[in-house]
Formats: sequence, C-alpha cells, structure tokens
Amino acid sequence: MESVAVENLLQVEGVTKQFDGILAVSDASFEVNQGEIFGLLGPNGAGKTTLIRMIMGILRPDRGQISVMRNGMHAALQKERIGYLPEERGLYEDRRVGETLVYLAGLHDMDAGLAKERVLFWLNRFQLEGRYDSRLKELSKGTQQKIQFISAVLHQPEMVVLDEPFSGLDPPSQDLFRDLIRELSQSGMTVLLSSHQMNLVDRLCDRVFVIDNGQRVLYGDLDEIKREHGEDVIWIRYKEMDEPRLRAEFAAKGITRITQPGPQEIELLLPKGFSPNELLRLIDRHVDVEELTITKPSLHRVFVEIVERKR
Amino acid sequence: MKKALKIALWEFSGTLKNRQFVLFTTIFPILILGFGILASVLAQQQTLPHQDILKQILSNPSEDVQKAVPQFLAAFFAFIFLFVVLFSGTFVLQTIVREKQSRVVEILLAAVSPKDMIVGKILAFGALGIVQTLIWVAVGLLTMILIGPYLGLPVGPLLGLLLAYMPWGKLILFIVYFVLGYLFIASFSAGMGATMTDVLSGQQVQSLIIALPSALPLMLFSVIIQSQDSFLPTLLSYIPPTIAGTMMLRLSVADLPFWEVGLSLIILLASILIVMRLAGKVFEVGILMYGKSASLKEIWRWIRS
Repeated sequence: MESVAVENLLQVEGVTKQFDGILAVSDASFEVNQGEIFGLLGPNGAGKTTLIRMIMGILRPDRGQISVMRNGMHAALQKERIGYLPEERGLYEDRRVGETLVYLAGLHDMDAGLAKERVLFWLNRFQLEGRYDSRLKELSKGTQQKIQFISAVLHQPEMVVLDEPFSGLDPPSQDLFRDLIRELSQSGMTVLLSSHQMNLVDRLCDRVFVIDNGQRVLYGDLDEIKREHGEDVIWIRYKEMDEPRLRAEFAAKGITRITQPGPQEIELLLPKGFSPNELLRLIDRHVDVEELTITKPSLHRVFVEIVERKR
Repeated sequence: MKKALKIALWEFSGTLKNRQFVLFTTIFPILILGFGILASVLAQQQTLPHQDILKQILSNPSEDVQKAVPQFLAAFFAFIFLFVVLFSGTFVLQTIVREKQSRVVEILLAAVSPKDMIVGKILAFGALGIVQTLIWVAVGLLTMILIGPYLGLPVGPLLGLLLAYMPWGKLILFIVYFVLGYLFIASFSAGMGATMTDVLSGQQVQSLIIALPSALPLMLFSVIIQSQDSFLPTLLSYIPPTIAGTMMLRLSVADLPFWEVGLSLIILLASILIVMRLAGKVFEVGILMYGKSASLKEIWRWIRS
C-alpha cells in the first residue's frame, strides 16, 4: 500500500474556556489531519459546542491556541475556507432557499454564478429539485436541516465543521448524511463533526477526541482506541451449559465479567491478551453452543467503561 | 468592508420586499395624496383666505420671513431625522434579535466578523430609512405642486423663497449631524439587540433609549428656537442622543461659534466610536446567549471583560 504523508490541518493546543466560573473546556489539545473525518464526541453538555464555537472563531478561548497549518507554519483561521453547520439550527424563514444559499456562499467569497450552479447541484443531490424558489418556512424541519447542510459545504471549503449533524434527522436521512460525509472526505475535504450519539459515528470517524465534563477522555485513531481500551465482546446462545464448572474455569483464567442478557444467553468480555481460540476451546468443553458472536467493542461501550472507571 | 456591503445589500433587498415595510412606506403618501385631493375638491367652492396677503409677503419677503426659511428647514430635518432614527434604529435592533432567535446569527458569525455584521445592518437600514423618507418627501412635494394651485396656494413663489434663502452651508452641517446622529443611535441599537431575546422586550427598551431622546429636541422646539443659548438647549447639544436634533434647531436660528459646533461633533464622533466598540463587545458575548435577556449587571461585566 502506498503511504500518504499525513499533514495536520487544524491544531488545537491547550484550549480552556470558562463561563461564569464554570469550566466548559479544560486544556483541550488535538490535531485534525487533512482529509480525515474527525469526531468530537461526548455526552450532552460535555463542552463540544463550546470547543467548536472557538474553532469557528465565534468564541475566544481564555487560554490556548487554535490555528491552521499552512506549509508547516501556524496561520490564522480563514473563515472563508471553513464551512459550518451549527448545532442551533435556523435560517431566514421568509427568504427563499436559492437566494439564501447564494447569499451565504457570497459571505464566504464565492462568486454568485458559481454558487447558483452549486446550489442546483446540491438540491438535486438531496432530491429537492424545484425547491430553489421555495420559502424556507414552507419546508419541514428535516428539509431545512438539509438546506443548512448545503450552506455548510456549498462554497467548497477545505474543512467543514458539523455540530451534531445527525440530531433531529430520521434514520434514512441519517444514512444519507453519513454517505455524504464519507463522499466529502473522499473528495479531499476535512470533516470535523460532533455527536453525542456515538453509535451513529462509530464506523464513520477516522480519529476521535472524546470529551466529558470539559476534560479529554480519549483521543486518537478509532481502531487503536478500541484495541487499546476495549475488550472483545463474546455473546453465546446455548442449548445446555455446565454453568458452575464454566464459571470456575473462567474465573481461573481471569474472566469475571459475565452477564446474562436473556434466557439461554451469556455475554462476556474477553480480557486483553486472551486469544479467542483459547476461549473457544474452553467453551467447547462446557457449553452446547447454538449461536456465538465475537465483536469489537463499540465506541459507546469503551466510553462508558472509561468514564465509569474514572468515577 | 466588502462583506459588510454584502450584508447591507441582503438586508436592503429583503426589507424592500417585506410586506410590513411596503405597507408602512406606501400608506403614508397615499394618505397625503388622498387628503390633498379631498381638500382640492372641497376648495372648488371656497379658496384659501388671505391669498393676496400671502402672495404679497412672498414676493417681497421681510427679514422675519427670510429667517423662517432655515427654521423651517431645521425643523424639517429634525423631523425627518426622528423618523429615520425611529424606523431604522428599530429595524437594526429587530433584525438582530430575530437573527438571534432564529439562530441564523451563528452561521453569519462563522463567516463574518461581528463588526461587519453591525456595519452592514446599520448601512442597510440607514439607506432604507432615507429611501422611505425620500418617497414621502417626493410625494408630499408632488401633492403640493399638483394640488396646491387648486387651493390657491402660491406654490411657485413658496418654493422660490425656499431656494433663495436656503442656508447652503448649514445644510451641509445638518446632513453631517443627521448621519452621525443616526450612526450613534443605530450602533446603540445593534448592541442592545445582542442582549435581547425577543422583539417585544426589545421594543420597550427601544422606545426608552432611542425614541425619547431623539424626539426631545422636537418636543422642545419652541424653547430651543426662542432661546437657543439658554441652559437646556446648550446642555442637550453635548449629550450624544440629543446632539443631532438640538444642533439642527439651534443652528437654524443662530450662527453658533465654531468651537460649539466642533465640540458637539467631537463628542458625537467619540461616542459613536465608543458605542460601536462596546456594541461589538456585547455582541461577541451576548449574541450567543439564548433563552434569557441579559441583565444590566451582566452587560457591564461583558464590557469590562
């Protein structure tokens, strides 16, 4: 495989922000690489939106620095080259879809003629042909959100920042947004997105920064994080089982986290360094298996475990 | 600045199409025209009394009549100033509150600076206020020219008198005060808008902070005209919100010393710069506060931060 030099685009260094003495973001540092999908994850109120507003230059950090890299040098952020879908959604209700989008692209220095072309392209992409002259208040909430998504990417920014892009969408639209985000990333655009629903972004992000109570919980490559922090999940449905002996043997091997999610079912977490083969031999001796799965832990699970361990 | 102009253009074009604006702008001239026509119909039976005397005065104006021209002009400017400030100041405040309510503000701030946003809106609504006033004045003049003769009004000599004794130098000063006075009140409105959450509470503060001070010089019209150098008019000439209106009226009756005009202009300019700075600061913090309007204590803290 050809190795591509990864260049970081956005650099967040030691950023801290307080509101009325309450620490919203504490000493956050991360880098977003060119062309990747970067997830800023965490529960509601964790500090994601505050971080994003600082990245967008809407709020100023109390401490720390946010910069973009240009030819290996720190540079100030240029608003024109970034697209933004805020968490708080809204557009000019009385205005028409097309004129609003062309106006917003114009504020990002895009030529009006080109902007109009791109609007038509995107409306088409969302199967909203014929909505160019609709008033925004005539559209459903979901459709308005699509229009806002268009406003974030219309001017072909080098980076797009999407704050909770999936919230308020129905499942088919969530899938559509996910596909579009992948497409944008494949076309070379850097994507920074936030979400409190980790299951929605689990297989979408290349790297993540997970934040809770303003503090960093996890940061890095998603697969590596799972390898490092997560334990494989084994789920078994059985016909028969010699439970006392199985448990005794599991305990001897250090497998203690066993639950029963349903009747005739057990679920256990495989400790790190324990090979699945070894486990299968163990199971084979004591369990008459009907169904068995081994899965990598979900990001959600990793997060919950880490937060619980911290508390 | 380019972005401020784009914002100005967007607000300008959008408001021109706004139903409320169109109604408000057209209903006034329609009323003027309507009353004019009604009066001319009624006047067919009866002409204006003392027509001859009026004509005589106009053809050979005494010194008092000559002096009345600048006074009329100042009152007219002060009146229009009041209208533009009320209309445009209110719109600046409302559009900001509305953008805050609809959350559009965050998209805008991701693309432009708060300063561009404030300047764009102030320009747009100032221009709209002037457009509106020009429409009214034009219709008023047209009504006078078309219908005046039917009422026996000597329109020609009247306009001739206005032109002959027009104080051109002072006219320029009136315009300077007009523009600066508007900038002061509009930037104040912009800052206020950032601290509010709903249009209604905005309007209440509005009437207190914008309408009252700008109307004050007109309410004190006779006091200022009769004794322009007494305590009250002098005081009002140095308080930013009342400077424009008061100075227009005072200038109409006297040639004020250079330092008085200079001082009032410096105060007005300085206060515009200060208010714009403060508005920008309040804007940065207040604009993202949703849910509740800011208290005075909070605003003070933002300004100091």
